Amino acid sequence: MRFSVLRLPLLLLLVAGVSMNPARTQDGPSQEREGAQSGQGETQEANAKKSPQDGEKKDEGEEGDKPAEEKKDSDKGKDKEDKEKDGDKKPEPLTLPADTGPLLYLKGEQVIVRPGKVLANAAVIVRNGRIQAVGQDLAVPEGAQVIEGKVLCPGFVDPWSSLGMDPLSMRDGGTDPTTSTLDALDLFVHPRERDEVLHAGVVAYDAHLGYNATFGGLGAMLRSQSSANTADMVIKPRTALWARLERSGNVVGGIDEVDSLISKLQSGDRYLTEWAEYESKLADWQKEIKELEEKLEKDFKKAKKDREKDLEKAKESGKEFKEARHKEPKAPRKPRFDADKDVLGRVYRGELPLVVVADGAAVLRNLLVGTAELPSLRMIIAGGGDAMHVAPELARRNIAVMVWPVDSIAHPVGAEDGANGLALAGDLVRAGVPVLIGSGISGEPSALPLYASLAVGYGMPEDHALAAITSRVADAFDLQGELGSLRRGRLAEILVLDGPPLSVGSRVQYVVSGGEVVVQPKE
Amino acid sequence: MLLELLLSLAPAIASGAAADTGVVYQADHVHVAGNKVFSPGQVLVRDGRIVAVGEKVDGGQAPQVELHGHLSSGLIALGETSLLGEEGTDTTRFLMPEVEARMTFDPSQPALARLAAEGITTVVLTPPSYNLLAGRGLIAKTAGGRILAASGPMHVAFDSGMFNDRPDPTPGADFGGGFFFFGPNGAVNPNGYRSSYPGAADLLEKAVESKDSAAAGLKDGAVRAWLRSDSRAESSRALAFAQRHKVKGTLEAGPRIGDLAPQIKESGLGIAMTLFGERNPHFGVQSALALAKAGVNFGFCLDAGAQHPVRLRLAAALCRRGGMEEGQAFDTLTAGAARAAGLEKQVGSIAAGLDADLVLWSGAPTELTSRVLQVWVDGKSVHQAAAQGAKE
Repeated sequence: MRFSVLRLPLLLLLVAGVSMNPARTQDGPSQEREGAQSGQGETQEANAKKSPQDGEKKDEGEEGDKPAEEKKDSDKGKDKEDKEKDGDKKPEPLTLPADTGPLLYLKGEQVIVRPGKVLANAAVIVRNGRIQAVGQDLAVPEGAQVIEGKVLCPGFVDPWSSLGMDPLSMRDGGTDPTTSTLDALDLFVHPRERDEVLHAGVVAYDAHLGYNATFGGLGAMLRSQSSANTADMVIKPRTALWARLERSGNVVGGIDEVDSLISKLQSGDRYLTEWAEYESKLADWQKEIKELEEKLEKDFKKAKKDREKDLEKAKESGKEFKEARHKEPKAPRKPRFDADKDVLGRVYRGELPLVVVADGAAVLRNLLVGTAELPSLRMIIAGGGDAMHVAPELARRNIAVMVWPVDSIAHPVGAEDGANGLALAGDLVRAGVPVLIGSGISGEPSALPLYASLAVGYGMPEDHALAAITSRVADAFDLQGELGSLRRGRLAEILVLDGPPLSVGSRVQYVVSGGEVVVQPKE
Repeated sequence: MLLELLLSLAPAIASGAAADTGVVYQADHVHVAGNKVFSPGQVLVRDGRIVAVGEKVDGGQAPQVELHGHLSSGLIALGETSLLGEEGTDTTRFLMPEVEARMTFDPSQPALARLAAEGITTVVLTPPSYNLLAGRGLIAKTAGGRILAASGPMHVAFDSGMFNDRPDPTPGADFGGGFFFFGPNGAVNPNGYRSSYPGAADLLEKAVESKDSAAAGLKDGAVRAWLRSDSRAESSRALAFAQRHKVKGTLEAGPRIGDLAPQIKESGLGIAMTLFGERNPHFGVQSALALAKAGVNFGFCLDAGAQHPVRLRLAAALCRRGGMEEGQAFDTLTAGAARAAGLEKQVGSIAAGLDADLVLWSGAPTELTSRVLQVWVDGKSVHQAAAQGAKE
């Protein structure tokens, strides 16, 4: 049948169009942007907006046996959608099977719900890998393992870590925007290091590859806890696009790199526009074809009769019979698929954050000028040795700086292996710039809380320093619904300490990660 | 000479009347040494020295100054190698016990001010370890240029290349066939044979036994020694040397020194530990714990040319994270380090008669979250932190 023949390629096209379709739903970027914006602010209003049931008050007394599937965050749903669209067949790492994992009741004299907000004598109930309730008058559920401590605190999250990455891939010079961190994740290397990191209270970290490339690819948020299974370690497979400027080490070259970076982001945007145009043309065409089909179907009987009549006539007259031909409208031409441009376009539109590793004042200034016209771009500066030179602009645009404890290229004088970067943290906060603290390419992942302590020693307020390794990191990577705070529905990544989190005298007594107790006192 | 005189008078002139009456510092917490803390406490300082300390002191006419924070004595960095001038580096002689490091010391170099700004007020400067005997080191204040010991400890480098019995792998280092061979650090071996452990040990023994050599003072502890070592084998050699000649002084040692803690306690030597950082601190921390358990006095070395001065406190913080209690960790930076270098009668704690080297911290001195608010050396304020902004 002619009609079915017409339909088949159409369906195929539709499927292909959707599966490779880089354009997102209209509300996509704006929603995500909202989250990120709030991430850099003091409060988490956006969180409240997204999940109004999260308030501690409401959590009180709720044992909440609701499993993890009850996902309220649009982010997550979208993530899933992303993957389906991209044809990513990997199992969804966030989905925890129902009724598995231990039931935990953690009680603390002080419960740091998020930096700056402390509940006295409160408890946290964990099941199925997630926090089910937080409150001051929670009863111990039956069968729960009870853990008591002085301070409960969200697990530390390192926004830039080298833990568990294959070193050569990490310093690769040939990566591109679609390179996936997961490709270099080595599950079996350095079990002792993972252990030390976990004992220091660092439960999760963002890692990426290609330090020596312009685009290091897509970072991933991973768990520190060892697992034989990659999926168990992945909290978010694609957190941000990482880029690095000044690879040449010279200033003018660095400026060129800024231009090139921005034009690549723009080309990504054009690419997505091209796809959007194609989609709309495709829809028009499909509509037209459908109408045509309907018309043909409707006129089928009449057409058949007409045809028979004509055939008869032709026979009578001895003339040759010509079949009526239907002119089919031409299908729009599909743009060529380009995975790199897809990612760049999403970054341009603010669907994914861009982390730019850069230090020099000239490059930072050019980067800020160049990106001023990209209103949706969500940028984070990593390194930022000279960031104080552009601090007012960073503060005005709420661009966070990820500080790491290493010599800054831009400061050959006094470039000791030490706390330079952390002194920067205090200075930036005083200038009103949001700050994250990471261990970076060559820092020690297990020393993350010590780096935060040092930053306090350099004048960073303590709540800011704690936020710089917890909630702010979650916000920066659109994980405010998962990490960085002790609220209902968040992943159960919790520390039990015998003192304030940033005191060197405090011991991490218990670590709960993935909903299980993974560190406990020896004996 | 005139300049020196003026310098010594300067504090007296600057503080005017205070030089007679002194000043009482009243602080929220006064960390005397170890776990001993007065909260609040008072310290009476007069003429650059601590006169009294306690919950309350009788200051007589002395004005009282209120300080908000924790007051401790200044920190001590041991085994600093990068602050001596190039003149101190001589790679042509194995034995130069007569050399004095203070001749190459520049008290106005900016690196010293950076140390002071991090609360480090006393620094033990050691000559580089090219030479088996590198002469006398130097102990100085980080501000004001005062030299604590006119002649510092005598340096014996058990980590000198001379003790290395393998040929230098550097191409061209071995000339071969000549009368002189070059040791691994380029020092000419006057004996004409390749530098080796037995050769070097022999040279050293002869120098100590020779009445003509300044090194003879090492015997029976007449002159304090600074024995440099790195590996465990080198430390063992140094320890044996010290026991053989009844040497008194300090053993500078690497991160594995904890294994030898009982022998060190017996020898009476103090330990200057190579500074460890947050990367692989395991052996260093374990050694520090072993030394503390054995009751050995020890502090940390700092190389200000390569290491940020805050790393001194970072090492103590890593010890704390490894299980060391607060007072012990604090002592590795102050009183313990002073005892390890034989300076306990001058610096390292807040006690009557000691130099008024004080640091005001925003929190406990061993906490990395604490910052330096003010530093005094010999009673004189030498550093004051810039006021923190309003964003806090």
